[in-house]
Amino acid sequence: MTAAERPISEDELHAYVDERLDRVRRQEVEHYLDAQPEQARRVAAYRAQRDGLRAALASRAAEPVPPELNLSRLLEARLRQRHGWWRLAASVILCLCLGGAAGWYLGLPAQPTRTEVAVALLQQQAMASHTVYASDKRHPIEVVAAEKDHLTQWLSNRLHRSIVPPDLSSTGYRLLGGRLLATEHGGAAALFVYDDAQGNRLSVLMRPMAPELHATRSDYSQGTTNACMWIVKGIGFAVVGAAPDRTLDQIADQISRQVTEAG
Amino acid sequence: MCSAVADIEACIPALRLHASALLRDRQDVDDLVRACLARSLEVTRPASDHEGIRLWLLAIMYGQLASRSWRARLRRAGRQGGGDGPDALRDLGQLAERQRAVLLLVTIEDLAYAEVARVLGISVTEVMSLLADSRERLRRLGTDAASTERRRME
Repeated sequence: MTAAERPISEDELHAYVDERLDRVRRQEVEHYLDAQPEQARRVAAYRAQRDGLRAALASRAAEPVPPELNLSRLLEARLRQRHGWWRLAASVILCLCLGGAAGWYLGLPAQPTRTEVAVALLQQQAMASHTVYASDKRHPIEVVAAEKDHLTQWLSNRLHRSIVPPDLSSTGYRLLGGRLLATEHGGAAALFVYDDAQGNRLSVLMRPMAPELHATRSDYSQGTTNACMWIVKGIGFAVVGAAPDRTLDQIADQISRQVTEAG
Repeated sequence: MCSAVADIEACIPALRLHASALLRDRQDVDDLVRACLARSLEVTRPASDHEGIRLWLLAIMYGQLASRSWRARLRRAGRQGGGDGPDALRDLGQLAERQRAVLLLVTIEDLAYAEVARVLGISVTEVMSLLADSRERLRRLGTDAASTERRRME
């Protein structure tokens, strides 16, 4: 061992455990460990951990893959779901036009629950509004953020409840403004549009729904656009944007918090 | 498309193995893998070789785990740590999420440190510090367990 050797770093001890060092450096670490019994014990313990973990999992490696994880089945289920979605939407519209019998007439394999129908409608409106309005470069909104009081008052009046644009500044999104939307049965809904420092648009939809409806958060994505939806106390919320799910989840947390605080 | 599907399919056993190190319950393991596969069918696949697909799927899996519902299941798995199963897996429940993720990606998946950083969206420096912390934490747990055992024998 020569005095000119580079000192061994903690990172290199781990790289030694993980066998990521080249031959020369590995030998240098071995020399070092020969002279440092305390460090050698530590490295040996790390190696034992690694072997223990690998051995503990090895028995499971040979297990056959269960049929529900078959990828072609998942693909089929997904296609069926897409197809089913249209039938679902069609049945909702028919129900609205013709009354209760239409759902039965379509012979849906399993009757969707009211909540599922509500979430499907929420999702459809949120994705469509985001595509049409939020991505519009020049006129995404009707009332700008600078007139926030007016915006709040106006949308609250039209939706017959307190509707306040969520403050998403802590997640890096700035309110551009809001607009009024029509629901498929002639109600009013609110859309708020935000952007971040890179100009990426994000939209937040709020629409009144049946007061007893409640749905926990669900995700949806189409291409690069992700959405996150939930229903609480008769208001459906949807956050749509190109941001990753994790960011949408944080934004949804933020909105839920602000809505709860506002009572 | 077909070769990408085949590449994803080839990764399923590895994903299950990885998930079973994180979650106790078999049903949870398969739910996580299914969620990960379903997500992989929704997002754009990277134009990549088999190895790239594996990294991409692992990143999707950890992305799923970051959601609130999965975090709750992970916590439950951590609490149930005292149950059956090998000690090596039981002690993993004592690690912080990120520490466990780094340790498993290095140990089980045999990923390079830079690849671990990419999968988890953190820096290599963070990877190294999490790796050192996780190993030291497990070592102390092991030492403590051994000394408790000795005391009981005396």
